[in-house]
Amino acid sequence: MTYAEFVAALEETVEAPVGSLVATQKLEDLDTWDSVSMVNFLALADEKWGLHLAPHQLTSCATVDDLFQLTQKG
Amino acid sequence: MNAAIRAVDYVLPQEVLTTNDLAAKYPDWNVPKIDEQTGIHERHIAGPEECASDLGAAAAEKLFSSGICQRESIDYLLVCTQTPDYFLPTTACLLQDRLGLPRSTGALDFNLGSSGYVYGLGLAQGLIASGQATSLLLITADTYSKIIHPADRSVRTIFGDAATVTWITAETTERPSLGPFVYGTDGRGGQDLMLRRGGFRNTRSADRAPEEHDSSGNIRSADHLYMNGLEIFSFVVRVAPRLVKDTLAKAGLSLEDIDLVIFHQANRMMLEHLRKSLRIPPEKVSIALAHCGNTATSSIPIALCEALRENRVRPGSKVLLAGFGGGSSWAGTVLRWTQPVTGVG
Repeated sequence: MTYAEFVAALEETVEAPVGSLVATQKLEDLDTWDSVSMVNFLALADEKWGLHLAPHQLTSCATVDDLFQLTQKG
Repeated sequence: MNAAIRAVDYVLPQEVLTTNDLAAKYPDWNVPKIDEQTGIHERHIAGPEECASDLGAAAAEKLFSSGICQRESIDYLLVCTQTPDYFLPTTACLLQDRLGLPRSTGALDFNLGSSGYVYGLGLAQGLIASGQATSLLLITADTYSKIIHPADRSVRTIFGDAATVTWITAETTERPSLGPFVYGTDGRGGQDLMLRRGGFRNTRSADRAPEEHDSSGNIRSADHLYMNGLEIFSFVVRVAPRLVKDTLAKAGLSLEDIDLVIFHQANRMMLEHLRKSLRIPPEKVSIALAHCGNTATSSIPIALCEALRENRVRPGSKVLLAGFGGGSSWAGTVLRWTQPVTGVG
C-alpha cells in the first residue's frame, strides 16, 4: 500500500477531511483518535491489508507516520 | 440418545435505555456515531429489585405458559449467569423452587459470559447422551447494568440485561442435533473484561472504591465492570475466524452447507468485520441487537429466537453458533434444527 492510500484510509477512519493529515500529525492532538477509532483502525488493517496488529503496537504510535511505519512492518 | 432443542424464548426487562436517552444525558458523547458503530438503539435495564433469577423465572414461565413444555417433565436445570442473586445459594436451586420443578431435578449454575450458551448446549448434550437427563432447561440470565458505572461510555452504550430459556430433550435421532463442539480458553485475557471487586480476592466494603477517569473520559471504579475494548476486539479478530473454521472442520461441513451463522452479538461493527473476513454473505449472518444490545450469554439464544420467528431457521436448517468473550473464552457448535416447533412467545 502507498502512503497516500494509507492516509486516505486513516482520514476516513478518524473522520478527518481529505488531505488534512500530515505525517508529523500527533495522534494525541486528534480529537477523533479515541478507543472507537482505534478499534476501527485494527479492523481496517485486518480487512484491507491483512494485518493483525496488537493493541499495544497501536497505542505506542505517537504520529501518523508511526502508524504508517507499523503497517509497513506487517 | 441425542439432545435436541425443542423451544427457545427470551424476556427483556421493562425499562428501556435508548440512544436518545444517552445523547440527552451525555451531550459530549458522540452518541450517533456510537449508535451507528454498535447497531444498538435500545438496551433493557433491570429494575432495582430485579435480579438474574427474576428474569430467568420470567423466561421459563413464558415457556410453560405457551403450553408446549410441562414443568413436571423437567429433570435438569442449567443456569448460566455472571450476575447471580447471591454467591450462594446457587441460582438454579432458587429457580427449581420458584418454578415448581420436581425435587428430582438436577440443578447447577455455571459462570461464563458470551461463550456460555454454547457451553450450556455442550453440557446438555453430555448430560442427555450419558443418560443423566432427558428434559432439560438451559437458562441464561444477566444484569450487567447493576455493575456498570453510568458515566462509562465503553460499556453503558453496549450492554443490556436479558434472560433466555431453551428447552432441550432426549431424542432417538440417528445423529446428534447438537455438535460437534469446539472450545477454547486463554486466561491471559481475563483482565480485559473484569469486575475487580466483589469476590473474595478483593471484597466489596461499605466504602465505595475510588472513581477513576480513563484517557477516553470514562468513569468507573473497581466496583464496576471494566472492558478493554481494544484488547477484546483484537482477541475476537484473532480467535473467532479460527473458531468458525475449526467447528466446520470438526463437523465435516463447509460454510456453503450452513444456512445461518449466529455469532455472539457483541456489536454490529464486530459482526460485520467477522462476516467480511470469513466472506459470509449478509443473508447468512444474524444481527439481532438493535432492540436489546449486547446481552452477553443471552445474545446467541436471542438471535436464534429471532431467526426462528423470521423463518430463517426451519426444520433441516444447519446453524453455526460461535460465542466468544470474557475469560477469554470461546465455543462453537453446529445446530441442526429438527423441530417443527419454533421460538415461542
